[in-house]
Amino acid sequence: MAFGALADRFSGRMFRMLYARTRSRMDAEDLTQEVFIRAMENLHRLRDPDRFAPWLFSIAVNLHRDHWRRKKAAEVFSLAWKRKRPEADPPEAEENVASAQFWTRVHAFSGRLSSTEREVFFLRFVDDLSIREMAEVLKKSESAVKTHLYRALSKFRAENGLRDWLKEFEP
Amino acid sequence: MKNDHLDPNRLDLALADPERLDAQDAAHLAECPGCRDRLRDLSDDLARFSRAAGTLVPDVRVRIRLPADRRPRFRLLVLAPALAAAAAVLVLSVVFFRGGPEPMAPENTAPVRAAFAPDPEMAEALSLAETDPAQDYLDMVEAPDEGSIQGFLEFAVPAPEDDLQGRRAGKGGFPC
Repeated sequence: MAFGALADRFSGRMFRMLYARTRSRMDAEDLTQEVFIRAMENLHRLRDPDRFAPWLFSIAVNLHRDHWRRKKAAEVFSLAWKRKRPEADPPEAEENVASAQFWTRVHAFSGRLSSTEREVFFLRFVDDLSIREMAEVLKKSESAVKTHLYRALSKFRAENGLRDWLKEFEP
Repeated sequence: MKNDHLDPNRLDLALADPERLDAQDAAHLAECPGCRDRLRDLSDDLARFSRAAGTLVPDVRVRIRLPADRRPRFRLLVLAPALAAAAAVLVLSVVFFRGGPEPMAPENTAPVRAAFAPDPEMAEALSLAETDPAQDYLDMVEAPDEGSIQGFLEFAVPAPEDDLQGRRAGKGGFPC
């Protein structure tokens, strides 16, 4: 399959994955573009074509991590930037009330997770990856992934606000 | 069957890593409707979460541009006319303000002098051309002799009575 066709096939998933983490359409679009450029440039490193999806996700995870670090650095060194963006992301990114409510709750919840727990939880329940794929993406053992997932689930179980909202949104 | 219901942590474990659940807990979960309901409740909320995360995301608008089909960036497209105008101004200013080839400067006459050296007359001419004119010549140019100019004018523009052609015209007209 030509790389362009692969990009078309996975662009939606990549965008969703990055939007869930950045909560900014613009950032997610830029990062999605960058993911595929990086993937094309490094395609020769992909040994097993069947593992394309986890390989692509690992690129996206690393790019998002870099993006987050740059954002944090900008936040630290630019008081003006911080004043302009006190909360996570611009409201125009969320196209309706339900979306805004959902992502606000999700980000409040993800703030209570460690970075690895957050990554594992998102890969499993936003990106729909299997335990094996998550282990490949995060370069951890499957056992370690399950441990982090277990801890994240414990915190999700205690997240009554989000769980009640989900039940109201989809009875 | 173990009578104790599974505590929340063991329910989480049942969801995250069922293989790690010990045999007694697994057996209890298989037979206890209450524990299964609690597990299903958590599992259903996670499924709702996944569906919401999938649907409450803006539609992707990005068209992936791969390196091979990258078009010039928008910023460059906007700047292209300005860059073209600046280049045109630069070219025109060079053409108009630089002018033609510069006259040979005195210090650049060495090759000419070398070429003329074998011929004494040419060498002298070159020497004259490179040295300032004699003061006598400059005086003559600045204050020309009135008499000599008058003589030249009389010769060049004769009086009507001395004009041979005029006389001919009076007698029989111009021959032409």
